[in-house]
Amino acid sequence: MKNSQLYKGSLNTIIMKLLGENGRMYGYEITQKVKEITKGELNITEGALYPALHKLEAEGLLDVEIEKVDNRLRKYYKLTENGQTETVNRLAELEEFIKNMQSIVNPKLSY
Amino acid sequence: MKLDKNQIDTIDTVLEKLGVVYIDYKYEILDHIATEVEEKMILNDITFEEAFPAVLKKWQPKFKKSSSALFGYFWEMPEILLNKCIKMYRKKLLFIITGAMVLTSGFLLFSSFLGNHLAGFFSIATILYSVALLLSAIGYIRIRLSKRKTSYGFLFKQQFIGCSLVASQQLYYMNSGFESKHSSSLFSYLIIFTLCIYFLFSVYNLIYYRAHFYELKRMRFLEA
Repeated sequence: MKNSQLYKGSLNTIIMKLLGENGRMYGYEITQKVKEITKGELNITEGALYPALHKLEAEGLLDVEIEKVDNRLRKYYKLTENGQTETVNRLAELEEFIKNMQSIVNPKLSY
Repeated sequence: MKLDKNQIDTIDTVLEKLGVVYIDYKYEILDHIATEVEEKMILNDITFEEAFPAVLKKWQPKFKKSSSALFGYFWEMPEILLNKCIKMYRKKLLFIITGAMVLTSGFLLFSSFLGNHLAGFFSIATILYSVALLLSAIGYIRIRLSKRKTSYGFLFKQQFIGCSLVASQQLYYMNSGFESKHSSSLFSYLIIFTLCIYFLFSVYNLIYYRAHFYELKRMRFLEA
């Protein structure tokens, strides 16, 4: 992941936001979607993505649906009810963080 | 261009050879690699035989065999699986040690009212250790006999070895009269602290046991 230290703390929120918008997604789809949205600037590695997905599942924020697709098993992730509520909270927290960073980095642009 | 069953089987075989055997991770990695191969075949207009090695090369560092002091350097597995196991285990260790300290302190506070009734407690502890050891042994055998492996099964087996050694040692000390001959508050604290650690490890063992069979159950139907 580019600038990993800066993005690392937001990975779970990014995943939850994408799942909130797209319903259900599988691992590869998530990496490609992030690459597409950020025009290749942000690249989520498999080594970071899957542990994050498994952790969110263990915390009860994601649900898993497994299906046989094109001769192989595919794991789809979607937000649980708790996950939807948590996404709203985490996005609000992230927005607040961005606003504060903006005030520090570029005070003229902040409001 | 979608991969056929033989091509998927080829990827599966290579992954198995590289040590990616835990089904709670393997199928996701397989699907990821297969999708990448399909895309590469379309984008570069190449065959499976050309695309698969190229994709595999990208993944190679994640499949490098690694070991950790946490599980012993004897146990090697692909880095991507090891990292998952370490993350699960490290968080748990911190909780277990803190929890055991709180439980031990609480128990010693309570036991001060009981005076010299620690020997009675040891006989109850002996029964608890024996039952826990027996149940863990049954769990261990059942997991060993499973046709498929999971990272939860690996963690259970790792803990079982450590827990069995601790339980055997504790059973010996509590029933050999060592405590009455070498009575000290530090010894009592250590015995109870170890018991609390063992108890908390057993709780996690139960969680891993259930998670292992849950993974097997949810994959069994789809694998067929």
